[in-house]
Amino acid sequence: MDCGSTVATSPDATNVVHTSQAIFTSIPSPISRGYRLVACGADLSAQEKREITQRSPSHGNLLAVEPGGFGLLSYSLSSGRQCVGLTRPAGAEHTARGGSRVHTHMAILSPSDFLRFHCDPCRVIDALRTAVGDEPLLKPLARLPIIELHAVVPTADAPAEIIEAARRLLAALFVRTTRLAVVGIADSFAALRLLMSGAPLALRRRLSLSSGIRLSQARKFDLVFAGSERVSAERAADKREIKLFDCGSEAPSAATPFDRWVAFCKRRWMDGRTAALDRLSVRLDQEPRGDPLSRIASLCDDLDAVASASAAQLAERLRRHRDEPASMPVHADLLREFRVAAESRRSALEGENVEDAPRPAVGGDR
Amino acid sequence: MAVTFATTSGTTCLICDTPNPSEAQSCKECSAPLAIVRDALAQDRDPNLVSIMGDSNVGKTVYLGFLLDMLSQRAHNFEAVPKGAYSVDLAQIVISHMAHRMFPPKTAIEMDEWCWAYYQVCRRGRASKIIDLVMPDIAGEAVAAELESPATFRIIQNLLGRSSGTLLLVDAALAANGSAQPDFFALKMLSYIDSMFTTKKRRKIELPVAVVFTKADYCPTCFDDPRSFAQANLNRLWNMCDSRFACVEFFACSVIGSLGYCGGENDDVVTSIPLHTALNGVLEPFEWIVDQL
Repeated sequence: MDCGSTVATSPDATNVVHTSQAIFTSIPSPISRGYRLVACGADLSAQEKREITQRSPSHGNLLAVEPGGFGLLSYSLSSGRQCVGLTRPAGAEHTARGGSRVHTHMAILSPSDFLRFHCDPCRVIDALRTAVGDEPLLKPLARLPIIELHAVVPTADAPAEIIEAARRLLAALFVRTTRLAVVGIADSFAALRLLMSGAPLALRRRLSLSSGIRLSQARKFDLVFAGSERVSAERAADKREIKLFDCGSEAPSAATPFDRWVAFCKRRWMDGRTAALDRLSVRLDQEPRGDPLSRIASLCDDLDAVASASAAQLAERLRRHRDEPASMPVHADLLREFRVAAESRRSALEGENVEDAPRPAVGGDR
Repeated sequence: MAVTFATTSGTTCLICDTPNPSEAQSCKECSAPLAIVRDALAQDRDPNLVSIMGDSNVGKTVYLGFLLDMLSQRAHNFEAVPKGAYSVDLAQIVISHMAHRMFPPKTAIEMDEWCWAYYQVCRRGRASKIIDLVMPDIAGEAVAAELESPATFRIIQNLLGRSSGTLLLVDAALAANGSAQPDFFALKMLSYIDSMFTTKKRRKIELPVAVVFTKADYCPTCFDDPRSFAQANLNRLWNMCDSRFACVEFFACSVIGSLGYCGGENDDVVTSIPLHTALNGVLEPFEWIVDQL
């Protein structure tokens, strides 16, 4: 088990992950009945089983009980592994008193395996849905074998209202001091997918969350997409130090140091460049701070614009980043890339014989 | 039992001792309603916590719902005053469902969905003391998970540790049918309590435990002599009680008069329909517990 180790592998080193699995649901067996961990991998420790039992949903806690509906949950275990669960309805509960049976199939990932999914629970859920199929497993098995998950790059086109909701949420996530219960989003999974692509890796790693599952104090998630049940979420949030975040009516928040990064993410989502944004965000492995993120956003914008910049614009952009210190390796890479692109553009402009344009100095005085 | 606290800076939970903000409605750790703490503080005496334990589907919710309703209706000369509207929820849920010939929904494993009841109970016409009773309706799955792996639901341990008495519900119908499951579950439960109350060698546990055989209408002999029923059908439980518990009594109880069954043609789930209620032996275990306090 790779617990708490520093991840040294590249995020895209391979797209196949072999990992442990567990199932929490209600099925009768000769010695037990009711909701419990009905099957799990041999390598799960007693403490991990305890934590999974404490945070798994039982009957009445899945918001979408119609066929095809699902919820997800993601949280780190004290062992360092990440538990990502796919929650689905699985017919009627056998006692006929529990309504629709809630079935949660979980992947228990080491930190390095979670990184292969860019620490994005939506990607894990995509892979898990493919691996486990449409029919939830309802047999009490002594042991579950290792499961093979294929990490794939998702498509993440989303309508404007989801993008706007994701923008507001991302801004709130950066400055949150309490847990957030989100209501008023039509497609919370789509919003979560966008949100993850704009969240720096350090933020993704520590965020516990659920979507499509009823807000419960017992689960203690940082971020809960509580569906459209505003009234019940409001009641729970009011009582339990959880801030209710209504994407439909939330007042614009005060300016924060992260605004530039958030606006940059929104532009990327609008332009359909979510995958590229995700590749950038997953390299932001330091604790998120407003200033470096703003600089990186500005640098990315200038990098986009440099290919079509006039000589004057090029000079201005070069001046902006001339003495900019690199806050982290990805920042240094972007600065290098920008200077190469600017040099290339300057050569192109010279080739076009634009004689009146001022000659910018690439790379400062170096 | 520990005294409850409401400090100037907040409210300390009666069950788990977690400090909570003064405006909080329920404990952020165990979800117990903090109104219990405030109400108890106003009484200026320690409340008595009575825990009701049992396996999933044994009938804890139905039993507790009817018990509270009977107390409210002054059965057996009891006078019971619910302290706070939340205390009435469970009885209302159970009675309303039964009136519509349905069993109440299963109690969810999530602690914040459990119903809590806080009643002031005394005997009418006697110079008896007033007892503040706190009774949560716990999910059987949570009890089972805690027995399986202690500290999964720490609230169970906290509740039992602070209980003045325990009602242990056992499915008599299953036991009479030859299933060993009720016997093993009850044995586990008592063993768990035994390990909690570590006492000197040979000294028995003083906590009053009322073993209540639910669904006893399936096995009428259980009503005739619950002790003999336990000895014959739940011998492991009987021996454990005999060896380690100083204050144990056995009771038979039933709530449903007759049951119907319903199942769709393509549905493999059979639903039980309570056609009418016929309460028998609901109050006696509670009465015994109160006498032990």
